[in-house]
Amino acid sequence: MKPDIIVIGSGAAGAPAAWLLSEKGFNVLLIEAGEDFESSELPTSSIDWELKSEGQFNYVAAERNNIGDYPVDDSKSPIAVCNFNAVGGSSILYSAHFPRFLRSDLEIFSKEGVGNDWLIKYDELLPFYEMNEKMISLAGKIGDKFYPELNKIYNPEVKLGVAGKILSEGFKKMNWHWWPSYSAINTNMDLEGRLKCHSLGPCNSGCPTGAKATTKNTYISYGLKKKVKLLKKTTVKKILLNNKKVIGVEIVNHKLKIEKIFCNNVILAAGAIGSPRILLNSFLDIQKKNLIFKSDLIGKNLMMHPYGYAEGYFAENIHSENGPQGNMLYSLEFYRQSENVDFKLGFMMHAIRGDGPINTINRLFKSKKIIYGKEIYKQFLKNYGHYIGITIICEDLPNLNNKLVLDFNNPDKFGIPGVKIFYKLSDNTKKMMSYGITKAREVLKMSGAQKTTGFGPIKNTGWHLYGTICMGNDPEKSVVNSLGKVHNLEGLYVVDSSIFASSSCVNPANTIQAVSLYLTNKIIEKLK
Amino acid sequence: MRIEFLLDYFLPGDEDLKIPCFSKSDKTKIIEKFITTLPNLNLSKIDDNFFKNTDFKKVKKNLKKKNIDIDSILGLSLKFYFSRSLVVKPLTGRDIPYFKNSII
Repeated sequence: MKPDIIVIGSGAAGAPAAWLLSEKGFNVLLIEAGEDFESSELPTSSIDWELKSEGQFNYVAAERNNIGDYPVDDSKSPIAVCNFNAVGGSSILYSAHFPRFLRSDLEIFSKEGVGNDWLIKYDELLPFYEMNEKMISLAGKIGDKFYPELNKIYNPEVKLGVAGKILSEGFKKMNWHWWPSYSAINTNMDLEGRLKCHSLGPCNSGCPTGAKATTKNTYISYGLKKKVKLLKKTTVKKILLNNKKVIGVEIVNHKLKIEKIFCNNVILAAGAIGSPRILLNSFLDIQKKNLIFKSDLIGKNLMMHPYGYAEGYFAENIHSENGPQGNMLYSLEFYRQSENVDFKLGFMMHAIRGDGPINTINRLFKSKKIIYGKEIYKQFLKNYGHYIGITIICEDLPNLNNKLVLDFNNPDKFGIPGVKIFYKLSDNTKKMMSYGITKAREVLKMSGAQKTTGFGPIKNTGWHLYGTICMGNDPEKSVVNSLGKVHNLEGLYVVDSSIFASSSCVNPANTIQAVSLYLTNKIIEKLK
Repeated sequence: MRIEFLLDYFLPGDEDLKIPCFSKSDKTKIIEKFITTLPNLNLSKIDDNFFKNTDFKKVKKNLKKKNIDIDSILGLSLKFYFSRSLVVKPLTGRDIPYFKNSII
């Protein structure tokens, strides 16, 4: 089959793009650098799941060397890049916390006087949020004042559990906003290939039952039944060009076989680290690069979600380990500030559930408070299920100095340069995080926590990555136009979070998928 | 001195809670998987009287003096031990892996 279009990356952006194209009759070649993990291979299918999460399924990119991984040097960043290269991409290991961005997230320059507005309007995105939420069978509860347009839910919300009820009482006493999580989790009844959630807990180590929606068990599963052909364990070396037109891609598979695939339309959807890496590697020839690009922005303006953290210890066992790890409740009380603060924008408080057995004992070990002998079991029971955590997800702003560059001294197994990350927390973020941690400790105390602690930034939390392929109308100030098409180049599109103009302070998976569907729909209109 | 004594000393199990100490097969796995890779392991230098002391801090200190990297041994062993269903289920009531129970 000669493809009509090639999609690079099978995660949150690539899989929806491939599916929609195939629904509209296009032959799609979906190329994925990583392998296809079976449910039985996921850490959560093993007795030593917490240990396994430290190896092949470690979400810290720099600490893995799977097929499809490439070197990521994040030693110059306080936040490690966390992504996953596999069929399904990072959705294999994400928490499935699935809120939408908020309307004003796309208008931060107009509304807040900082950062940039999006070229995409929120109202244009709404039908694609709805399409996406239907596909993944969104769980949640209608009625959050921050989401007035959200009026269709496919599954009841994940239960708060004992811990969630206790924490929600704290929020009520503070008179602060809170709402049960929106989740890409099947909470109601078994669906095709997806069992009902058993509240096992560790979604971030992979969901063995398929209750958690990944792009693999939704978009890819459906797309493969249509006109999507999946090429896994295959890395794209570069985009092939003829003058200012795309003519295909050069690939190398895990057996080191190099091949050229010819096709006039290519969609980049390898994420905010992977996509700029492929672009940069495709234009190592400066003359060729200057012919196309009028700006020098590829890889720049890297945004992340810096995370602060607060936790509360409760004297009684509140069974906080039970339930989907990242799906309990959230608060947007501090999304925009009502009181005088010395920072712009805001943060989400995202409640998370307690640790599994190994992490519970490891926490005691690391704190050097562990008591050996028979006391260790009593001590374990005084800790397991006794903690609630609140992460402070800070909204980031674009900064030209936060970037990735090719790392020629650190190539992957195919000789393709890896990437080096340069990132610093802004003063705005530091102030926001410190304030957020204080506020989170307040609500934990109000909920009845006997003691609280807080710290930040947390190193291994670079899950949410944006901004490295700037979207704009002016080729001298951006890389792609409002369709995601690379300026001055026919046939190359970017549909992932690289093109996000702002980061919001909420988990981005729903928005990445909706934006991909929106842009792909535009591409389809253009190609017709 | 064998590694078994070390593990049983620090993690003895609890009959009342129906929690076993390390099983023989697990001890073998620990030795094979973890302990042999650790540096500074010189267990032959420990005599049996060493473990009659129930002041764990003191024992750890003495082990360190003998150039035994007890923190690394315990760090790895704890992770292994608390992954075992026989240990975790009596403590938490949950099967490992988490397939069958824990409905909130």
